[in-house]
Amino acid sequence: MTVMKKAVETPLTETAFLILLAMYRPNHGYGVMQFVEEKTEGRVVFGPGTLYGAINNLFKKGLIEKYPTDPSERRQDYVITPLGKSHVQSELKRMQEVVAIAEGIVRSGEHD
Amino acid sequence: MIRRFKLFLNPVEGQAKWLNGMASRGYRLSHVGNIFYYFEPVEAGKYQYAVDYVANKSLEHLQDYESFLEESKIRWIEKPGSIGKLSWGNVRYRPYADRGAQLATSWGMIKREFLILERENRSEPFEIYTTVGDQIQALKVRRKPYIYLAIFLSIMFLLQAFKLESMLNWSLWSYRPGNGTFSIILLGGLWVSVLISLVRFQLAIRKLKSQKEI
Repeated sequence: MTVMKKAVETPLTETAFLILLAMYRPNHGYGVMQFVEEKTEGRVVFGPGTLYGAINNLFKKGLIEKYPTDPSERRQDYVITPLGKSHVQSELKRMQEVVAIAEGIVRSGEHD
Repeated sequence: MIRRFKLFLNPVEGQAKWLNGMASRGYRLSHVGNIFYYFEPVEAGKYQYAVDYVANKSLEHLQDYESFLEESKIRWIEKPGSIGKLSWGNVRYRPYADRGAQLATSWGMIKREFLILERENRSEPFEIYTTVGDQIQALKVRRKPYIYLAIFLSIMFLLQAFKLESMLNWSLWSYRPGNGTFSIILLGGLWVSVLISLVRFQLAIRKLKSQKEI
């Protein structure tokens, strides 16, 4: 039996997933921090070291790219790449599967 | 403006705690000199501090991190440290640093071992690394110079011990004047303190690992 290797199969960490979502429009570090805090109602707060490391990591892996900014603004914006979007989509599908399984079990209180 | 002198056994958590204590009493860190910290009076509790270890970063990487902090509305102040460096003139070799940062020169890196981060006070504590994985990684990076120091001290200790041994044997050809016993005690003391630090890092890492996601 041959196993087909999917292009995207590793689950994203919550940190990476949220950063990618924040970068569906060009965004910078502080903007990502605010977006995540607001959307998760303060449940997730990124420390600067964690956010910096995660952004660099996503950039190195080609999931986000630099977005040209006005040089007077002294900040670096990033935007999600098509590869990043495909990662988000497979992560979303994976999460939906898990949620569907969990809802079925939790609602009925037991397995089929 | 007030001036304070302070040394820390724990330059990351210890220093941050002290700076936060100063801030809660109404003192904002203005700048850091070679020896002293300089504070200016402000409203009590207006700012929060955290300390990051950055000696492993290359100059380019550090500057990139600093501009990231600026755009995140965090003020940073570079602070020299002096743990685990082998220095020769103005060049210091740091075998534990990332590639490109191993030879530290006075232009950029020697006085930048730590970054003090300051932000306006928020309700939650100021943490630089907020995932358990990052916290473990940060501890491992900080542990590295201690590992090299322990190896270096072990070699020095052995060399001294051999020297002492030959002195006790009183063979004419191997005797060297000098106080070998004193060096051994000094080296032994240093070695023990480095070892204690290593054990502390190890325990902290183990504790964090147990908190990782199930």
